[in-house]
Amino acid sequence: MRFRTLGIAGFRGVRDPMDIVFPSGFVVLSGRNGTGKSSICDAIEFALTGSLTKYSESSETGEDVNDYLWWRGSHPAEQKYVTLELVDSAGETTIITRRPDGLTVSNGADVRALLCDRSVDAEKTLDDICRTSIIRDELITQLSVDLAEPDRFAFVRAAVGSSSFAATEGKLSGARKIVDARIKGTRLEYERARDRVKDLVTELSKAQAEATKGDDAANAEAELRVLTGNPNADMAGLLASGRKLAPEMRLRIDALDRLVPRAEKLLKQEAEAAGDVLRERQNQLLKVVEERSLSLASIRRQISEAEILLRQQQEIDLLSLSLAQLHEHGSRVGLSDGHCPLCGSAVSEADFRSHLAELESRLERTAEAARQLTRRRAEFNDSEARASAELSVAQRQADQISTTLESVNRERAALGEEAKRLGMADDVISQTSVALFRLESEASRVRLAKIEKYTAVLDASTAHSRVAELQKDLAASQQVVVATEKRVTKLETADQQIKRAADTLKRVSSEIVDDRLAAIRPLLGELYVRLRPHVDWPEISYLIRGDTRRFLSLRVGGGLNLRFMFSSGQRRAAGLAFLMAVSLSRPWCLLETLIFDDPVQHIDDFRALHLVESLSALRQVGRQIICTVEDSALAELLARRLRSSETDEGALIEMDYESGRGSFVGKVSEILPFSTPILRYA
Amino acid sequence: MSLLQQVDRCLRAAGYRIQPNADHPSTIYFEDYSLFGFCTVYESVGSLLDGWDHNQDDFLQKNAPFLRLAARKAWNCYTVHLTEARPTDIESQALFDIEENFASTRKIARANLETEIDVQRALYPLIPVQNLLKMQSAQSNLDIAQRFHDWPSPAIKALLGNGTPEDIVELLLEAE
Repeated sequence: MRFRTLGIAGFRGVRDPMDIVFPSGFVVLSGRNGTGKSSICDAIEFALTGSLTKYSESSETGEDVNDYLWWRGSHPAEQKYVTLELVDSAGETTIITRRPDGLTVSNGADVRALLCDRSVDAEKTLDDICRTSIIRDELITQLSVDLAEPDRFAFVRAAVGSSSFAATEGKLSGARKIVDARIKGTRLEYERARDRVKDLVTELSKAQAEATKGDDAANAEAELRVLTGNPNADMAGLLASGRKLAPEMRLRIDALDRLVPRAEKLLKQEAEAAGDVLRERQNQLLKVVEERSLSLASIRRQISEAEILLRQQQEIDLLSLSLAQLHEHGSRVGLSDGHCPLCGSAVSEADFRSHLAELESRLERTAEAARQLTRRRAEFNDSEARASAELSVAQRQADQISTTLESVNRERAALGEEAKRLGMADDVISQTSVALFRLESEASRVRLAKIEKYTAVLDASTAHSRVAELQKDLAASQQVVVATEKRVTKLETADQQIKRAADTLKRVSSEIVDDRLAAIRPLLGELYVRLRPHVDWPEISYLIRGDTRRFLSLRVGGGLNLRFMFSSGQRRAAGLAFLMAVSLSRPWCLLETLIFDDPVQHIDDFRALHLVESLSALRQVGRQIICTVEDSALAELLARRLRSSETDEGALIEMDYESGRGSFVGKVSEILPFSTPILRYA
Repeated sequence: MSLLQQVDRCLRAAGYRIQPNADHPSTIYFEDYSLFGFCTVYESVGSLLDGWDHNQDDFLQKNAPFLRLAARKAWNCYTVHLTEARPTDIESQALFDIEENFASTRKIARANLETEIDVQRALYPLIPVQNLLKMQSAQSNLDIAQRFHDWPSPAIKALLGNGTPEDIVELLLEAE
């Protein structure tokens, strides 16, 4: 990729539109100070990056270069733009246009991608391109011999670029994620397979224990078919039938075993009832009940009569109470002037006292009658209680006998029902049936034992098959475990391979950078020799040292710092060698153009000639050179020596300046290839 | 290989046409599309210091008609004066003075040329940048593929080519 044309208007020191064609070989721009040579370099940088790094600092008033990018002269510029046309080796062009209001790029091209090979270093930017492609007068020593060693190392390190294997690293990272996920998944599978094996081992162990329990399966099967009444059932059905029948049999035996003592108890009770002892006792008790009931009724009548008398007595008692109060009053007060204090009638003292005595006697009789009534009633109540108790006892005993008889009847019925439920032929409970129950229970026990035995035998027989099945399953599951384990191992190996590859990539990346840094050494040595900054120090040493903090020293004569040894012109020559070496050591850079902005200031003619020849050597390796110089003779020399050829022609452009108008192109000379050979004799 | 042969080879490698001088076996002429001149090898530093200007003048005189026709190219005339002999300090300064003399031609005057590298360095003003190629070869030597010792080659191809991470994993797992 090279520069093809540059168009400037209203930018920096250029007011009117100015077009410059860059032939693919070289352009030498000459002119006095202020004729716009540097504005052309600025325009190239601005077109590419949108800024000018050489003016990175702000002024005290806060102004910066952005305030002075566009024409600030007294006569306003009609247009303001910078256009830079790039061309690739196939002739495809891209035009970058920047105006005050923004950037346009033809075909929407990605200029950074056009100039920076991201497959080599994905981080490089157009700023990096400009910093290392435009070698400016004022920065020659600043970026080379005058830089502190760590900064110099950083500058070179940044220029050569980090070896970028971004795509490869991305693939490795992606592959590692895939492998990690698969390892997790496969480990889970392995765990599950192991669990399955463990389960199968347990199951197998049980099945093997079962299998050792019995044999003679055919006989057991025939017996069980008879016992369960399943002549045609399959093995599973037969076993199910046997397993179902066994608990039923146990229940039947239990029922029969319960039935026997109940029947015996019933028969005993019935035997007792058969002697009419109970019934006679019942009749006696019923008679007693009747007598006690009659007696109780008589007592209750007497109580009723006594209660009537008692109520009457109570009424009498009320009168007696009044009389008693009168008696008490009369006794206490006595006669009042021959008159009774109670009735007011005239009465003598003797009569009065006689009346009081009679009244007292009457009161005494009434009280005695009341006491007798109360006593009688209490006696009746006692009689009633006794009669009731006796009646209750007799009644209870009678009821108990009734209950016993009823219970015996109910038990008989219940036992008959139970016998019927158990399928006993005789549902009438008798000594015979009790014997039958016992026989049936015993027979059932024998049958149950047989069912259990034959079921166990058949179970043992199926356990053999189960063992075989389980062994097969176990073998298959163990194979799964082995296969899964193998897969995990393989995945872990792949993971390690990827990890090692990533480490290797980092190492290689670092080595590549180190190699690039080392590769600059001979190139710098060559360019230093070509530029010959100092006659006494024909060699330069380029030494990188340090592990964490790295230093790049440029020394002459076995360790002398040329910064303090060389004159300014010599330092510039050495600096040019360094910057040219750096520029030629950018594997990521697709721009084949190098720009030198007035590189020969403070350099004498002899060293200027060496610079010209060095630029010619760059031309010989295919670089497009843009070089500005003040001196027209030097410009002419450059034009002659920079090797115009059939494919890469050159141009010599004289810049000029006019007050108010700014910089403009004065004269353009095409530098065509030299067509005539000089040496014609052979 | 003689010094002159080494010069011959170096200039041919740089794209120059080389013509021997039938009258002076220690001289060759060279020319490409941009530069031309001659190179003379001297027996001693003294003979170089004594003879360089005569040889230059002789060359210019012989080619004067063509130089006049050549216009700009005529200014790109290089005269190269070399010797294997070791110079004294005074002779070194004298050689340097010759080079600083811009009259007529660009002059290269060097002594003590023992190796091919010495010759190359003497001819730097005429030849392209040399060590650029060395850096490129250093880069190309770093072949990542060779560094992935435990990777199967299909997986390396996928990694460095168009393979996806899935492809790479499969190829790693497939490998025995």
